[in-house]
Amino acid sequence: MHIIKRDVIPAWKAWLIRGSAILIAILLCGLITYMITRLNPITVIQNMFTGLFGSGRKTMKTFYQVAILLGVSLAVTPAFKMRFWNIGAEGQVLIGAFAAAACMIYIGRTPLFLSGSVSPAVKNLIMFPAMVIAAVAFGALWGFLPAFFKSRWNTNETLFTLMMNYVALQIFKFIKNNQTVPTRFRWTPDGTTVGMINSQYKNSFGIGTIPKFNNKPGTECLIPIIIVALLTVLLYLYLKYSKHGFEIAVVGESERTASYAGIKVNRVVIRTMILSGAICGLMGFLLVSTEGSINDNIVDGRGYTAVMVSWMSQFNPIGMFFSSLLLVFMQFGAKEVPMPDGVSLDKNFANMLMAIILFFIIGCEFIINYKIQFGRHKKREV
Amino acid sequence: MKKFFAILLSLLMIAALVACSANTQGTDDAAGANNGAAQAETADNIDVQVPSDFKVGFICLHDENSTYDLNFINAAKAACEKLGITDYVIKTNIPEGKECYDTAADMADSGCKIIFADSFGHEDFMIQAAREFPDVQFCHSTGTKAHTEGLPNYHNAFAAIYEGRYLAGIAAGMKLNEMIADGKITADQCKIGYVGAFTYAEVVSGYTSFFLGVRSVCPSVTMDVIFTGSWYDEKAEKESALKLIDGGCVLISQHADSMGAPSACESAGVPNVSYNGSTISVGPNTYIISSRINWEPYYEYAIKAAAAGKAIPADWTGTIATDSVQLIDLNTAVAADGTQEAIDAAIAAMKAGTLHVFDTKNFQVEGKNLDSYMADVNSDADFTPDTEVIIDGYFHESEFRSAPYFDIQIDGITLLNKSF
Repeated sequence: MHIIKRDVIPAWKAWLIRGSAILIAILLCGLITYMITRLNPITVIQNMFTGLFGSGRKTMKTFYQVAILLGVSLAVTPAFKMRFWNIGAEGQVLIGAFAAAACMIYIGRTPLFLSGSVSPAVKNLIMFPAMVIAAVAFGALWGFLPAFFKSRWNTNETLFTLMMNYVALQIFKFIKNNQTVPTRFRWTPDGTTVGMINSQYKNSFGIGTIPKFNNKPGTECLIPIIIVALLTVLLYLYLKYSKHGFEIAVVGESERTASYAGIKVNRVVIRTMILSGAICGLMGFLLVSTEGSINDNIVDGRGYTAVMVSWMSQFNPIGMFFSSLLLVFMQFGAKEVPMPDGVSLDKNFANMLMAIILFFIIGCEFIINYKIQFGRHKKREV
Repeated sequence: MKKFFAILLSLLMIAALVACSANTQGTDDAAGANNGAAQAETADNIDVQVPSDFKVGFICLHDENSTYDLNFINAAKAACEKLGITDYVIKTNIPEGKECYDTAADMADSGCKIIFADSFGHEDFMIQAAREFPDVQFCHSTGTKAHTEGLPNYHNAFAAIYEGRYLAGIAAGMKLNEMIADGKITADQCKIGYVGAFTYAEVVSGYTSFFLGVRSVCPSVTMDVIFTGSWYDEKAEKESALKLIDGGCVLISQHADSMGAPSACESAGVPNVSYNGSTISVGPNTYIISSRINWEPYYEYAIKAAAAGKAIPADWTGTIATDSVQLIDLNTAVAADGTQEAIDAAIAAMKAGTLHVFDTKNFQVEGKNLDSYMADVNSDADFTPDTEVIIDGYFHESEFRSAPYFDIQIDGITLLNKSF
């Protein structure tokens, strides 16, 4: 048995392979769900649909989840297109969220915000720009560091970005509730979770969180959805039509070619990583600002899932939307399936389904790039 | 041109956010003048047939693998079965974040009339859901804010578990006495260990009452405490237990939810007193007894009250009398002889009002007995003490609100770490 690299196969064939891989993955998910729960598959799918789209609020919430995953996927795309293996989106989003939450907490505790005589609109006018700037700046910093080290000392970007994830997580955990941090900088004086930020202060509670229209639950998801939709269009234009986008593509094809063509590779790498980090930071802001809360699990693996989303869509924003929708549907839909004993399927089960889908998607890239030849008499290709 | 777009985009975002911020409403802080835990009302007092399609939702932090959550899940199923409710939902592994709110809102959307959550960190999110769904009752176990929040559909519940811990402590003390009598240890080697999760009042109250229970029968005892910084971390709990055993502890108890400490005790052959469920399956040769909160009476009561349209109190504290505090599965193979009788005698004394767990005569702080203590009962930003809780010679735990607020470091207990 030989494994042989294929010539480039036609795009339609590649997409056919990807499509069927996803289909097989979904069927396998269905089979496993059936084997474990013994529920009628039709009922399961019905439950998933009503769970995710059963009311206006649920639909908004589902599309919010899609928007966040899509946003992070968009963020990692430029770097991947450049063949810069950035797996640090998780940490970049978290540090962005951390910075946004820090603004809410520390600015929210200043006398101006604690007083009742300043109108909420004025407070928000100060708070939102501060949060956005802080989140974007921190996200960008988390993107900049690995790129800088890479271009200066040729460090391994995969390990570096991965480590930055842990740095972000530990910084957050430390500030959040370590007793050695001075009380006034601590986020939860005696608790494990931050809870709703500023809920203990009547006048600054809710400042910095995206408001609900007419107090209707679910409407707070609208603004993140719009922002990510805008971002999708902008990034598409940026990658496809701008000079920067072209440079990214050239660097991705070959760094040598790029430098012969007069492109300053290091500059492109650093600039692109700053952009990636900044978008991740913005997503962190959206998470905190929509949820009004933060915890260590707020990014919830989206930084890693986004790599898959970006990859399986071949960096195509439209494809990324549908991939995000599929993954969110499976991940969140599975939790809506009640078992006969009343206990619903949970996160762990959902993650298993996700893993199956991702496994097939990664696996099919192998089939696209290589072919397997059986038998031993074939002539070796040169 | 690019710069122009960048600026335009950021301005648009800010404008959009600010424009609708006028809708944010200040939360009305009508500090509910609810008094603390009176004698808890039970389901027997409510005469109503709960319709079988009455929908109930339960939110759990972890799943059945955690003794804490298993305790809730079993109670939920038992209460629903007893009331003939078939249409109930239990969602597990719901973290203490926005997801809790989302889950509660989903449940309300799909017709649940009453929703329970089981973990301390769920509280803020349950309150948010309670504000947005005024027709649905939200009940939160272990929370502290209902009595100050003043929402008619948001309630806290807990149990006087410190009494259960004290009783479990008696069983542990009897075992120590037996070990001394058998010559396995000497009276001055009598050190026990405790694996706690966080430095919360809930944990402090738990280990202090346990320690006082032990000391009531074995006066020479001292205790070491290690915090793991997590409610469920099997590895950390196991390592902490082993560390305590290495440090000379001859008996271990824990307030964390995995099988870590019990299995460490079994492998080291050290007696273990458990919490929230029997761990005899992993420790047949070391498990003594477990104290437990039985949530079934509260669930039954709250569901019936909601079905009858009766107001549920902001704080509900279950007791031994309501069967909310239980001592379960005494392992006679390990426990000392006469343990059950000693526990029964203590229960009788508690009921008669002659035995108070936090009697100020029984503990000292830096060598002095307390005659006054201001506890932080009403949660606020700075954790200011606000209520005098030592009255008539004992610390009134779980009376001014259902969740524990005993957070005093007493003599005889050494904390080996306090970073959580």
